[in-house]
Amino acid sequence: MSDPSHDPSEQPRELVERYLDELFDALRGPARHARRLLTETEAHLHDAIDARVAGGAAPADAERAAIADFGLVADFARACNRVSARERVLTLLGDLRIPAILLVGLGFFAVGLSGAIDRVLSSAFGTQFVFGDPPGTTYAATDCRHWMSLHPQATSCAQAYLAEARDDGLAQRFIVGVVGVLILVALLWWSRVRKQPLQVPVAFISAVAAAVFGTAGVILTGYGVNRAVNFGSHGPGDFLSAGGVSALFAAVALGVFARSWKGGTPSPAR
Amino acid sequence: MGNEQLKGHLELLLLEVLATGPVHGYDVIARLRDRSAGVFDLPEGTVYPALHRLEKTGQLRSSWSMEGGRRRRLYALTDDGRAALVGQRASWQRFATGVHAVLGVAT
Repeated sequence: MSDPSHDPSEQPRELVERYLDELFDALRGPARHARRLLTETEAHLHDAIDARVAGGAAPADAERAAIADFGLVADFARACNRVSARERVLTLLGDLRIPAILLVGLGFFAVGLSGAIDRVLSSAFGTQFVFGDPPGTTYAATDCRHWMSLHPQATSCAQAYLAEARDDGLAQRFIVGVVGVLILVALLWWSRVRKQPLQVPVAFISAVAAAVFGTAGVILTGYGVNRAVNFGSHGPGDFLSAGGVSALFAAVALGVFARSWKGGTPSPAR
Repeated sequence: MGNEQLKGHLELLLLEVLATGPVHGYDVIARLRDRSAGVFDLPEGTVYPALHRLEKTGQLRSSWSMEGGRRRRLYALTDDGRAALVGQRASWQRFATGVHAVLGVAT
């Protein structure tokens, strides 16, 4: 290993060299961290030996004493590795921040998109198909009064509930979708301003997205199909639209994954 | 003084030593030893992880320098480090006053 700190006129000190070799073997973490520690340790040990020799000690005794006072390799390396591990965790968390925000933004956007599909399905097949509860569902009298007051045109509690479920469902999905779009636009703006490449491989991000959206797609679609089989047109649309959008996002993420995998994802910069 | 006791206050002592200006690791330890009249006898290597930790938390900054034919890492306090030192000094004073009061030692 090259040693930038070493004075060429300095005689090698065998115990110091051995100590540094053992330390190098015991250190974990980024190479720059290990190099810095070795350089600092070497300078420290030579300073300590020089000071003892200047004080009248024999060179061999000074070397042994300096190393003894510095501490055992295992103890020193363990303490340094703890600092390095903490740095690695913090770096990883920092690197994952942007991909996590991206996935949240996509997730919110998917919710908004499913809301738009709900609206279309509701117009095409009726509100019951999208927001209806299973037949025989009963509602509390206080809820009924509340819904009837909000939708006076409704002729029954079930109708008032449907109208309320449709209004709430569509409005909430619209708001979540807008928040998702805002997150994605902000992320795009930020990436253009910062001009920093992602520190996490695209293949990893797309694989996570495919797994998350794929799982959601399977569960929601399964729930929608189950609802359709057991209760007919009473409310499968909401689940089917959410499941369909999730499946679509999963398919796109899978495509991105396949393309980045085939193209060879560059390793993130250290 | 026991090593375990000293470890709990090592960061305060390091910040204090560095308050006078940039210092490299060996000098930090030499100054600690001198200022404590030899009371502090931690393994010298202990100081480096502590310095690195303080740097990671933004209380110190460091840079390479060449002195006496050797490359050394010079450590200096940041503004955050100075603020931390003021806070830790005050905290230590309160603690020491309390311990002295309990022990009946005049301050």
